[in-house]
Amino acid sequence: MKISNTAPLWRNLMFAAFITLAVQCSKDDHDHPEEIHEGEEINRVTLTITDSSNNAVPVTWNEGATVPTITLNANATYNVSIQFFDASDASDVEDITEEVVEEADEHQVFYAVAGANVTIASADNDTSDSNGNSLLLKTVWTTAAAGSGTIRAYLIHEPTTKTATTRDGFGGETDVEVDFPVVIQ
Amino acid sequence: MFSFAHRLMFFLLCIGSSSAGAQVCSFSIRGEVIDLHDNKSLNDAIVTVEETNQQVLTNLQGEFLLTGMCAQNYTLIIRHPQCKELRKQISPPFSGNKRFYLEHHINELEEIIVMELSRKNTTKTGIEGSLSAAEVRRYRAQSLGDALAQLSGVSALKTGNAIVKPMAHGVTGTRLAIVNAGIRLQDHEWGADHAPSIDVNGSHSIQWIKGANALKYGGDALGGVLEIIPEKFKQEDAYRATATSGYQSQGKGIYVLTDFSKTAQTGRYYGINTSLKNAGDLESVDYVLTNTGNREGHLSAFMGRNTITREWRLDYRFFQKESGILSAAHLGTLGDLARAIDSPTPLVIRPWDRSIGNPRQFTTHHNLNFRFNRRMSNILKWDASYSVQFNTRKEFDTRRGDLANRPALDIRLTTHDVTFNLDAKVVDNVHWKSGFITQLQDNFANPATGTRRLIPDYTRVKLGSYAIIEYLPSNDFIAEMGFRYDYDSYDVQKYYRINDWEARGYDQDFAHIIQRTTSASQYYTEQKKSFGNFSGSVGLKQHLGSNHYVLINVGLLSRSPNPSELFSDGLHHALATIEKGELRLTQERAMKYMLAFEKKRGKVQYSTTVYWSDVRDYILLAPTTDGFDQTRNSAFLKRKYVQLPRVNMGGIDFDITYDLTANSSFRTSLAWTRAYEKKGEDLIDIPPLNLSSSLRFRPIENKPFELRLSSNYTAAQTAYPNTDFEYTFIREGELSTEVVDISTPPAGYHLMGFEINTKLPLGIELGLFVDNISNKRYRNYNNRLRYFAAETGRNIRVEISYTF
Repeated sequence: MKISNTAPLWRNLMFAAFITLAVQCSKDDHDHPEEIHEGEEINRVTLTITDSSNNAVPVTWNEGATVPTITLNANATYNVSIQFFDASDASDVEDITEEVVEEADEHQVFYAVAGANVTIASADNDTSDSNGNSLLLKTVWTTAAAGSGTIRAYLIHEPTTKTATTRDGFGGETDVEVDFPVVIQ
Repeated sequence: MFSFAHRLMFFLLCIGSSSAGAQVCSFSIRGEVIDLHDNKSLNDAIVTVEETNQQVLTNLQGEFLLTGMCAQNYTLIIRHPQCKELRKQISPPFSGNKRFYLEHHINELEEIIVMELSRKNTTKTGIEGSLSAAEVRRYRAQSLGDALAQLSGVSALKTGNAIVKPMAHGVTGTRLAIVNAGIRLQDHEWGADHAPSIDVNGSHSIQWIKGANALKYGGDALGGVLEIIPEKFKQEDAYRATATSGYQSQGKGIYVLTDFSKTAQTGRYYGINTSLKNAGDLESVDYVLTNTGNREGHLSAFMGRNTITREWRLDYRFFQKESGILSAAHLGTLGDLARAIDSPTPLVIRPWDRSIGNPRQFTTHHNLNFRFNRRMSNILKWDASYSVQFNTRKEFDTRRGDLANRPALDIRLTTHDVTFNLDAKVVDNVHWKSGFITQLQDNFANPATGTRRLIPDYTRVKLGSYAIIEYLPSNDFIAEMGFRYDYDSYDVQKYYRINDWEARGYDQDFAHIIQRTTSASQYYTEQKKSFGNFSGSVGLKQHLGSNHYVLINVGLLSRSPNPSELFSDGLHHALATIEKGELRLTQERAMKYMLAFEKKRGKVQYSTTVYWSDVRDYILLAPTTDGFDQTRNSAFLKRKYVQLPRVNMGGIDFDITYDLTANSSFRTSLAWTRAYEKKGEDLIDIPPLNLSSSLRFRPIENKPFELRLSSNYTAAQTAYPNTDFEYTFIREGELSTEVVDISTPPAGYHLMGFEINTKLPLGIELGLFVDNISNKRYRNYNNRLRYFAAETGRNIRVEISYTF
């Protein structure tokens, strides 16, 4: 059988292919992959509750831990600010609230109250987005009669509207959702 | 040259016996001429008796009759315009109907195999389903998953509408091998929401080998092997150039496809084909499916040469796809999932838009493949190939700040394969086939994402080898037996969070793989894992007469856990699910039994397959006992890979084609699968009963004007596991804990389709396709996004094609 004149071509190709393979093999396989520091998880939420005599009490939820109970007095008014953190790296806690403020149009805080006599409204020093909608980062809580219940705090990303009164109404995606038990005494 | 080819072609041919009266010239020879390529009868083939110069033509059924034959040896010469001449010696007695297989369309080899029992299939006794080049061509503007779903027993597992993964006999992913031009596609190691990077326009015909018989490609595929077969070219001076363009109402989609090839008498050929597709948001009956646009680009270029004794081919394929993920499916928490299920319409609906925003998926596939086949003599042939494929997948989520334009997932998988296969005829009716494969794979997860790696960095080495013996004692019986062994090893570098590590008890079992503790409370680990897999199969094929065959296949399969099963560690926003791999997984082993009856020629053709498999240590992504993970951003569904000690799967695939007249045919197919844990729950995502039918006819005789009506009924799945969870809503100022039903499958549905195709003069071809004619509202159990939105409504597509 006559040797086909295509032989040199395929031999060259085979050669090239094996060179590629060899180069790939000899690449240092034992490079340590770089460690990733995630900086966008919200795993700590702090409510700072300031009463009319300016006593500030922080209430902090950390992921994996039991959520602490908020204790309030009946018929009182409190200034409450909310902050979000990424505390994955204990030596480098990141305050995500700053990003929320920077991207005010894409974010919204919302509180849903169940069972307790608390009404929540935007505070004077609250952050507003470009359309003047308050973000509810800083709020005024007014309590009525004693009782207990749950306050669920949400941080909503890209809500479809900023003026809803229920979580469903806002649409968007929930970045964090924490249930704080509340006791009014 | 001829004598060589002839030696090759003399196989066996003679059946039955009858009294042979000597010297009386009153015998007749009855025969049929068949196209080896598609098993169809060849009419107008010229049959010449060399000794007497007697000539007859075959009729429309490909049959011929020679009368007045004496009791002596004759040489028949069979010619057909597009085929190589066949010379065949026959001797008395001339009883029975003799079949002559001509190699049609392909003049690749001057070889015409005269073999009664089987076509040139990948396996001689395999139970198969196939899509011809013409059937594949009908789907050239759609996804591969949609095209494959035409095979009874194959369905589609979807994530939205653009990400369509084939599922066969109830399994997908690593359990279903997809082989393109002899090389196994690697990127579906990446989990359920990744579609195979193959363009239908660049595919020729497709074959599904249902069982474990395709040992050549692996011994781990419980769902069998889907083989995409490239086109073979004639040795002639010719070219083909076609351009196709279409528009579809869904997504206002447009596409342009081209196909060019040039062949020469010397056997040299080259060609290129391309596809470009662009569609915006799809629409369900009642609302826009926001952010479901899709862009796709594909290019495939090839060159090669076919000669009698050798063939080489070089292929390069490129495939790129960007798909939007339904906005309403992007969830932050379990509460979002509960609200999405609670709501009858998607939580995000925006006006129609062509642009694709986040979340979206962007995938790229490059493949370079070189193959060489050599026929050493009529008893030995071999082939060798080298292939490199490079797959990338990026996923963009809705993220804050600087991260918004950075992918949340960016993985790059490079795979090299070197294969060698040998086929030797040991003695006249025994064939020996064997080969080996060496695979080297490297996965790189780009740390620039700033999110934890879903799949870690690893290198994988796989060595496999197989041997198959084929025994063909008579024309009516074939037996095949094969074995395969694969050695599979991983070298993995991965970071684990210390709290996860301890929660899973890894500190007890895997302390030795920890290299160091990082400042961010993670362990950096390095580990090597290896698996040895032994697989085998036995197949029998018996002719029952009149082209009816019975086939029996028994396979032993063994599959190593894949990287996503072992090492996954991350969040799937689409289902608010955290998926965790499990280091303790071992191999999954299965026995698969199949029985099939088929008749693949004639007016009525059918195929029915019953299968049953018994799987040990079945790997499954299951909800964890505590249901969801309260430790991360409030709540996510937590899913972990586990092994079920014993799983049974069984079902039936049935299809029948009835050629009503020369111009019309009716086809119906049915597929049913059942899969459950022994003494336990049913498995999730198993496709429900499906019954589909189509009627194809040409209303005007001899006019290339074709109509097709199709009907597809999908029942509601009644066998499913309970994966419901509880969520506490706040409704009207009160807490309300409710069960969120994510288990109950949607109702059954019936869809109708319609198609017109016509060829006009000057090489123009027109097509009109209507899917979901009645604009039915429905949800599909095998669409992972069914909780968030209904399926698309009616789609009208028009297509024009021009052949130069």
